[in-house]
Amino acid sequence: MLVEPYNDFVRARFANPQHAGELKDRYDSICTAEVAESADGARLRLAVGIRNDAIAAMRFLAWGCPFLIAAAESLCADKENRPLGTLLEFDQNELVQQLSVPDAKFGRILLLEDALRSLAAQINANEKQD
Amino acid sequence: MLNEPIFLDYAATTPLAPEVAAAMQGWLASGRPYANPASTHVAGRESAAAVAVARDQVARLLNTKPGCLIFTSGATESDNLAIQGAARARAHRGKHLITMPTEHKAVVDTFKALERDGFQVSWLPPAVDGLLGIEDIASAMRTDTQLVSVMHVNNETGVMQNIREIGELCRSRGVLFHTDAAQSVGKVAIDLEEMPIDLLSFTAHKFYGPQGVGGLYIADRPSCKISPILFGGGQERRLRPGTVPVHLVAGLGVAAEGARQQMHTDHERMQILNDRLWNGVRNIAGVTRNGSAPQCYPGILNFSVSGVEGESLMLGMEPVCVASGSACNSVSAESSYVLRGMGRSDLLAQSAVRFSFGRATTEREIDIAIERYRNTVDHLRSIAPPISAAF
Repeated sequence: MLVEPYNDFVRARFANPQHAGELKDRYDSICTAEVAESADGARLRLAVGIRNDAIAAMRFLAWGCPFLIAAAESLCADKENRPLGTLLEFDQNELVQQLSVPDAKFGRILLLEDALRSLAAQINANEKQD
Repeated sequence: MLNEPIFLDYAATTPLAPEVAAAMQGWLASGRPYANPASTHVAGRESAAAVAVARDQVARLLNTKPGCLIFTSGATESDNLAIQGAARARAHRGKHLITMPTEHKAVVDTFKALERDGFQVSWLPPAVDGLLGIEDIASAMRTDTQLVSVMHVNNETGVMQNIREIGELCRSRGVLFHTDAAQSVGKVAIDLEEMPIDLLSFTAHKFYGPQGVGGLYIADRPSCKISPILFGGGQERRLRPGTVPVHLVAGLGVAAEGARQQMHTDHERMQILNDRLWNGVRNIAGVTRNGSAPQCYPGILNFSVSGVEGESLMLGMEPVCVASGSACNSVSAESSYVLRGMGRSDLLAQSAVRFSFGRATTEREIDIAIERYRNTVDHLRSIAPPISAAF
């Protein structure tokens, strides 16, 4: 039996990341967060397009292993068209299971949570300014 | 065609040559007496004769005397026996040893074990092209230096060290010289009658022989004595106890014979494939060749690319089978210690890919590999965030 390091969930999202890219300026507002694992480690940029208090679109850019790219793609797809208040709802354990992430790569998935928290902080700060 | 694996990882292992498989099958076939070559009865003598034939075949490949060769389980064991055996046999004279941090793990870890046992090791780094300067070795030598170990062809980069020059220096100083030739035996001409090498490790599965068998050359010189590191029998000059596996050794011998006959043709073909691949990728922005181009074995080509993550590069290139760093060490998430030892940054080392070619490699496969590499690099760069102050 072949030992496959990546399951079909990872392969599909890695091969065709439909949410990779940047957002055009056609939303009420756009917030962007950048996080990195370390100076030379994985990097992730998440951008959320907000319209009518909803997550109208989410895009990512990632430099990292296939698990990070697949996880970012999955997260963006999951968040789109949901209320803005659900932005921080993120079950990393469920995603880890879906992707069958090995222990050594668990830190890459935590980047998603860091990016979401950073986005939420920006959105809150923007609301206070308004 | 694109879903069929394209195997460009011949530096990790080579398939059995058909004539090797046939020779081994002859010994494995049921009904044939399959005796211990150490046994004195007629069946044992038949096995011993087959082992002797194989020893002759390997000796012809390396132009040495059959009596200078002992069979082992492969290059890792040979490296251990050569390095530990030489260090321990000469420990009463001194405990200083010299090697490189870019050697194969079989050598690096053996020297580290000797360090823990009280030996002092000078680790000489190569220049950025992977080559070790002879003057660096000369400067590191002390009156108590007993052994220098420098590999012939590096398994990750293909860089070929000047082992003749190093051997001459060692002879002039009365120091033993060992070379790990796992990647060169059967691929590069080696004349042990003429080259000043004391100990040379090799393995069959790098030149179309079976996995699980290799050997160690020990020069027929009074000063070239090594101690055994395994105990239990008198086989292989009491240096490698254990029953000699006749079918594996027979396969090794046939592989050596085939390599001797095809080496020149193989080498020319490797150069053509190497040039084709390099010319197909060299103009991609950010591509850096790892290793001294004029002094590399052409069956291995290693290069890095900036702005691309290595593991994603490997997955994107499927079904092209290549290695990132050392195949033996691919379970490690750490970037290649060999490339970092050559001064590459972690990022560049991490994006390195080793392509290695074999007799069955076609130019069409090289063209597919080039296309996959280019497309994957373009794609991964297109979805990567630009380096910003935030990082």
